[in-house]
Amino acid sequence: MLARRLPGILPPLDDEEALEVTRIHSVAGVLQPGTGLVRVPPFRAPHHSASAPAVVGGGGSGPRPGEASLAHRGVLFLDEFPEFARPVLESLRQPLEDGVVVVARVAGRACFPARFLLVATMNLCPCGARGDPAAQCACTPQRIHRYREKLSRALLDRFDLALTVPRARGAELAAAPGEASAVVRGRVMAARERLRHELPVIAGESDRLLTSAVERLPLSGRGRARVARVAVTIAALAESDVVQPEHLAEALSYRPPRELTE
Amino acid sequence: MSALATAVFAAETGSHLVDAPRSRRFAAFRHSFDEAAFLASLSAAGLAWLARDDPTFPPRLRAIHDPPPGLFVRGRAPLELLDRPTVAVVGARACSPYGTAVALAFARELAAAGAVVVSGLARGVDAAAHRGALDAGETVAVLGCGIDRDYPRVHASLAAAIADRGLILAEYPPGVEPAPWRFPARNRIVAGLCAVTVVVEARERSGALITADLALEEGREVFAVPGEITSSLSAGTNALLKLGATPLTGAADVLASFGLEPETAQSETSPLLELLPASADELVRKTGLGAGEVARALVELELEGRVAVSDGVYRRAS
Repeated sequence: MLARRLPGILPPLDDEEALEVTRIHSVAGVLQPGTGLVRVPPFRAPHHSASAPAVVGGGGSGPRPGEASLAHRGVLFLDEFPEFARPVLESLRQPLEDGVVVVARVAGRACFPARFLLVATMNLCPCGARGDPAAQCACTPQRIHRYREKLSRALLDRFDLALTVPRARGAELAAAPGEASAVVRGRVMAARERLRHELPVIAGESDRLLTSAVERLPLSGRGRARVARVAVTIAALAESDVVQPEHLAEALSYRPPRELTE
Repeated sequence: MSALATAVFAAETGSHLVDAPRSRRFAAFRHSFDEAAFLASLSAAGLAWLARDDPTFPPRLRAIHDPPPGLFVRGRAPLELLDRPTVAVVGARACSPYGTAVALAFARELAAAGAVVVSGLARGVDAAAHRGALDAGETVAVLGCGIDRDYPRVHASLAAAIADRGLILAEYPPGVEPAPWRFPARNRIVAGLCAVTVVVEARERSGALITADLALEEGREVFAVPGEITSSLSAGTNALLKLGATPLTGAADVLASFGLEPETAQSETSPLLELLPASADELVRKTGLGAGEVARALVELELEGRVAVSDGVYRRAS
């Protein structure tokens, strides 16, 4: 639900991006005839039984772009993340780092762009009851460990935001709808514009908070940089020229939980 | 000096020995055992041997009815660590988030007040106790396998952190595989080292209850953390309470028995603390504060060690 709304709050693709995306979709043969340029950020959600060639690209006769490239400039959504085969998970590390996928086959070698927003979901345990006050989890520690271990630390390290979402209750589902995507999109575009000109700075109290967090929490060098980057983004969304301590605190609350990183 | 030979012989034959046996097999083993070479290989691996008749051997452990012939030692801390007030914190491997949070917070508070937390490096409560203690001080892990093994493997980095700041002890020489019967034997060392044993969460007939029984047999004080009566994870601890164990409601209960003071309480109290346990989302809804404000308050409380988060739920740590 949340992930599907994501393309709606992203700014529409500019001319250059639209050409790139349309080219990839055309090569892959998924372009509907008569639609012209793809202007909306794509949303791709492959099933967890997908193979590595299906996700990152490949194929026997002449390589074809995979889901990661079809999600270029858009959102790649992997539901039940740890259920994907390990080679699939690890093959995502290259595009996450470089924004491209290189496929080498006997028939040839191809390089596809793959700069996407990765959204992944998982349960706290394989049975799904952990963290839900209304249910009793029956998983053994070994089973939980095997489930969580599937995600290597190197892979987890590439996620900027991690959130534990409690099960929605009936009252919340029936409540009035929140903000419309178009309104949020306006804020996102304003923040992007702001970030293009000048980055909000981390100083004073915020800097002190970040330093003490690095000392007290298990936070790697990459983790520190990530928290700082997220805090800058939050400040930009709040239309602030400096990163306030609450922006930094919010960024800290999005780091991957201890259970997953240890 | 046959203590080392006894320990190695016991490990090789899979037997539980307190003193050197009077068997011909042991006599033959001892004849061929090169103690000096064994000690040299130990120290080359950064390990040490502490015989029971050594004056620095913990007297409390020597006093139990079946003390080990000696202990293998790994870690940088001096052995005097064991002369400090020692508290065993043990519990279920498959513990609930409540158990993890209690063990973590409680061990942290004990360590901050100068006590040494002893546990068994197992999953669940044991690991949480070690982690909490490392946040504020030192901790001691007792292994149920060879001194050079990190078992379970997932705790290899935790074991390294403990060896860096505290001590790892085992009755067994390097290379001994973990075996089911070695864990109750290990538990007697955990209980034996400590004046006080705290059981955080335990099912009926679990290893943590064995530790509590051993502690009671030696006349040591046993505390149990009260749990929900409907949870099977509290069945063991609630049974202990029924038998007369002292209910544990805070680190001060244990520290008082050593004449230690808990670290002075933090100055102001946050209104959020009254609403815990809760997820960040629930707090936003209940308080009407902004998500950023709640996040900031929670992160600051977490940095002060006053709340702990597990599976997305924040809990009071003290």
